[in-house]
Amino acid sequence: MTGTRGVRTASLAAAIWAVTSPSKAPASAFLVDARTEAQAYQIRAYRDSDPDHPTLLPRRRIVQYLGVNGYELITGEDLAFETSLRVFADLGLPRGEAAKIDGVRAEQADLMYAYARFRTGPIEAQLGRQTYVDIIDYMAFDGLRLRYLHKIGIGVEAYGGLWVKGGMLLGSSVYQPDGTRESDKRRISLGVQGANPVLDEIEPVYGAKLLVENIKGFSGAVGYRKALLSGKSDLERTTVEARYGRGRGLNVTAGMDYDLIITQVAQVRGLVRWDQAKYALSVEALRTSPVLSAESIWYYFATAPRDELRLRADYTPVGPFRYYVQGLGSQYHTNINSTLGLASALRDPALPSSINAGGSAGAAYREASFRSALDVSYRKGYGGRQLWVDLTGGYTSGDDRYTLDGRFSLANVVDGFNPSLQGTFYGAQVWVSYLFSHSARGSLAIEENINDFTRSDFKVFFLFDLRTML
Amino acid sequence: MNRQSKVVTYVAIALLLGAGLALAATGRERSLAIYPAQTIPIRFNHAVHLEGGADCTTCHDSARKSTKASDRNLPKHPECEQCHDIKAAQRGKKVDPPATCDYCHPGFDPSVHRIPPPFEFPSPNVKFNHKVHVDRKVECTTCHGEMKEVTLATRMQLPKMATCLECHDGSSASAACTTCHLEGPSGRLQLNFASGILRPMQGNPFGLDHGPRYEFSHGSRAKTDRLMCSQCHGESDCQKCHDSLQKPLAVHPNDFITLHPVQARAESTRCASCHRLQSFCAGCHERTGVGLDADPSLRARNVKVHPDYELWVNTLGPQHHGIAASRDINQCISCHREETCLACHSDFGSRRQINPHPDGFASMCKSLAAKNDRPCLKCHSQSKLVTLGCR
Repeated sequence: MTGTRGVRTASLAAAIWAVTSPSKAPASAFLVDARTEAQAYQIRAYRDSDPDHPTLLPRRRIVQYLGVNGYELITGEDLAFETSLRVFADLGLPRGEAAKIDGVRAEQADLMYAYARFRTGPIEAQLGRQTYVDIIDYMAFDGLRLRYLHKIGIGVEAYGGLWVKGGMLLGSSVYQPDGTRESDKRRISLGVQGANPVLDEIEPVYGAKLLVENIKGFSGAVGYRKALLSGKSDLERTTVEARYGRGRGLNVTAGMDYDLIITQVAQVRGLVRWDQAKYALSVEALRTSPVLSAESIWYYFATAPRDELRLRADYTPVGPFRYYVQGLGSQYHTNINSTLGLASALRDPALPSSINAGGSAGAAYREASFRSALDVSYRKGYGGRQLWVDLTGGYTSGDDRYTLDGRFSLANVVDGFNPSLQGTFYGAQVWVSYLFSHSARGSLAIEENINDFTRSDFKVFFLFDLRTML
Repeated sequence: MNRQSKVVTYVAIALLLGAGLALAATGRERSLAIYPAQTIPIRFNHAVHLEGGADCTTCHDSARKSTKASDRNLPKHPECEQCHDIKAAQRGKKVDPPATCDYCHPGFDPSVHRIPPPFEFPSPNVKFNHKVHVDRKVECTTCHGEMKEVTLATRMQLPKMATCLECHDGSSASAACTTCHLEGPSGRLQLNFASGILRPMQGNPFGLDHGPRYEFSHGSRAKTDRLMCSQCHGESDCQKCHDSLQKPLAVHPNDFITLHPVQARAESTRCASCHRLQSFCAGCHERTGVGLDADPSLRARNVKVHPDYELWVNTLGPQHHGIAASRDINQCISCHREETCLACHSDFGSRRQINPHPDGFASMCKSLAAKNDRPCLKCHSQSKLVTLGCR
């Protein structure tokens, strides 16, 4: 009896403790992030038309983004998932017409990203469809990325998976290798000679990086990436990235992308910035080349890189105004096989310059509910001449419920290749938004453009943003 | 641009510059997102108090034990009464130092209002533990600056991030963003506050100023410093512009569809950061009749964007397409498919069969073909590759 009573007493005490004791509440958070964007305007076509009787193609596009995210799925653990699905339809593009053009779709559903992320101490893992940005390019892959970063600032990152391509289920071509059609299914179905079935095969991609993170202000990485298409190299590159910064003053970032297939430097970027409280100076130099798939014939053509230099000074006095002035210069290099007769044309005094130079200056104002900015840019040289003047202004009501923004732009251009594209182009935008609740905002933007080329061009955009934590 | 437009533009710029200089002595220098605006309706002079022998803890003693940024470590009447005999002054006595209500609360008359105008002193949107810093012998002036010439302390005496990073360098103290900044549920920094949006300004110690036209200049930083960007931004932030389907009006103003060729020629690499050339660009160009290789059942194109055919293709002169292509192949492939080039450059073509490869290509073709020979076979037969020494 005594034992039974003891068990009962203990059970009762346990039950009371279980009901009344402070328990650890689950800390999970779920975020729904949705955007609807409707666009209505017209595109001028150059088919069966002349300047006085243009063919106008309607664009009635509706794009829906739905992001569902969950964080701290296990209390106390950094376990999360993030997803974004994009569905769109262009109601102004007949399906039959879209079906005849590679890369054009009347409707589509794309899973932009969907991954689970786990972080604990020095380790971070991400599994699923994800994007990856570095000095090479912006890419998306379905796979796993792992990073280990020791507290002393040395680490390693490795990733591998399948490159996301337009031909895949729920796949988008936005981040797939360029230089070929995104898919050749259409031409294969038509029996077109030369259609490439390999384009629709899966493309394994993998890479790794050795990382240094903030050791006496220095961070850097040495990386390698390879992609294989049907067993053959589609991309193979190595990268070096470096950064230095120890508080206000000097900040340096640099990167180099070396192509291991054609064994040459593909891209180099360097940015040196000097920051003080009221001013900043920066110099940025870039050497860029197109990032093309090794499956493309253009990858093997005699092409040359493009160099660009940007110098900029920012001045921010105490107060609502800030100013900047920037100089820009760029040059396309020329690469012609010296055994060709065309090589002699490079010495022709009539050879068009490949240098483009110019600059811009601007001021921005922001105080309380008002904001405004003026930018003036001028460039001349390769490609033509262009002067842009942009004036923007905006107001946000004190309770953040209404915003009203406007933009006036003036572009005076002379296209160096298309003589009919020149003149002064005037454009105006008005953007109004209203906050329906703390998580829902609707916006309406209208744009009217007037110029001698298209005469009048009217665009309407409607956006609805919903961002709510569940 | 005519003379009148020029004058209007110059006058607008001059007015803006002038107004900026005129207002340069006012306004803010601290982030409103971090330190929301305050209302401090009192008269106080730190310089006089310090000169009179007070030290920081005379009035702010609670700071030594404060563990949260939201703690108000400000003196109340008991602290003031160490020197100011408020009760005697309320009885009408003349005291030194003065202690009447309106001496510190200007304009306050207790016979008219029961309480003086209230302070508005919102909590800063950061984490901060005074106790930890005091225990580590960090002087008050290290963060708040020298107060000997300060009258009323305001937001301007609160530390900027550059000051914090002098000690929070990753070795003496943690340099992780979340040491001081608040996190959202995602683990990234919280950016939206009732008092403003947290956005790096000029003078940011990481050189991250998101100033005017940052949408056009962030590329180099984003490509080499992804970990830093990811402290605040998730993939959705990047895709708001880089997904090629949304039309960011700030990036593409005016009649951009008509004007984009001029911009693309000047900086074509920038287009490729959002738009894939062989799907987005070439597809739209074929639909609108600019592209050459569109399906023949579409209406015929009748626009001509290149120079005369003789100069563009046949004459080996400065206007030859080979020079334009070698300078910027992106321009070509935003309209053309591979078939355009294969028609003349391929061994299988019936026309010129011009070699499009650069100098020295023959010496590397064997290695290239070993890595991927499929593009070779678009132009050459297997036997030709052997003949060329590429097998």
